[in-house]
Amino acid sequence: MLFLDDLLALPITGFKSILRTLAKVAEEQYTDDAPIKERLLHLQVELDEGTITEDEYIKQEAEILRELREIRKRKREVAGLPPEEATGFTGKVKEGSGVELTWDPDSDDNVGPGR
Amino acid sequence: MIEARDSVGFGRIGIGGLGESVYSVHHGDVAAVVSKTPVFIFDPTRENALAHEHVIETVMKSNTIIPMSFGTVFRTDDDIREVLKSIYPSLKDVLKQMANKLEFGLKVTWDRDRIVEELKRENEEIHRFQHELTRKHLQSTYFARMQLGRMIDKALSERAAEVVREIYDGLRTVCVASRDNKVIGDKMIMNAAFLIQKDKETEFDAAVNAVAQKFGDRLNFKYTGPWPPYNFVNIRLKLERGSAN
Repeated sequence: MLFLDDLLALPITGFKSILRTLAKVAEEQYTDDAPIKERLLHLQVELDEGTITEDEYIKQEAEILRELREIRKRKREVAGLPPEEATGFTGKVKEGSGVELTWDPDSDDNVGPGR
Repeated sequence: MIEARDSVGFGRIGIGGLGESVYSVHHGDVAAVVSKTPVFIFDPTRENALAHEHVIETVMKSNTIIPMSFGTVFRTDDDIREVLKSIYPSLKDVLKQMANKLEFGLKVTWDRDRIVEELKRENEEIHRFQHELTRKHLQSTYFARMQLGRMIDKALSERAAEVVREIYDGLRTVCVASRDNKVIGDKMIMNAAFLIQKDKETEFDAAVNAVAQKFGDRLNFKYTGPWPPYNFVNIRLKLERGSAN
């Protein structure tokens, strides 16, 4: 659906720009791990509810994680980065790093839907 | 990350199944709770997640935790000390705010089919429309069914919003803050996290039970915790990986 809408919303600037859009959407789908992560969440709910057994969970989990690794690899390729390095993080943190609250301790309005 | 001046050991419960010791790395009066690992990337498998959870549970018994995201691996203890030093002021501040607070999770599901049946009986608009459909033998036309489907979807989300509001109202006085997370699947209507003052835990428990009882078997409550405040702190660490050699 997104596909068609995107195309229809395009100004008519020639076939080339349509191709570019197609390539971009394809690339996004090729490197988008959100739907896969969501599948993992669904799987956890199914295990909690008892609709699947622990064995099935482990089997499907392995498949999902394999896909996630694959996407991580593709992302690096698309970004022109070398394969994931076998090393940990250094102690250097960039500007803007820190810890913050996601709520306002001075407000008395921190509870309810939509927060 | 915790507040602690002296080094602490938490036993050989490290993630990865090798029985690595879990210990603390300090900068002044703050510390990171860590264990050694031969791998750099942890898959979020159930096994790894449970091991991570077990460590957190153990540490939480005697500490306020600011939880790092799962699977963060640094090169050396010195690197960790450097990070702690860089974020010290904000970490210290958030640790203070989070002292004696706990997070609980609440997922609420309903039997969607049963609610749809209820709506067909009780929602006047839907009831009338369905009656019309049957009377005019329109039941099988595509657009009529689409329209009925849309009416039901709309009524369902209105009913869900009402129920969720009522649940929040029942818990408002016994918690500090709440976060709405995205629901998972079409049976879930609420996926929330609550921040509780430690000394209000019993009251919060009772309030959750009271709300659950009020809805009887129409809703299913899944209540988990205590957790460290995953949903109530945001750790922004812009890190760099070291070179492979």
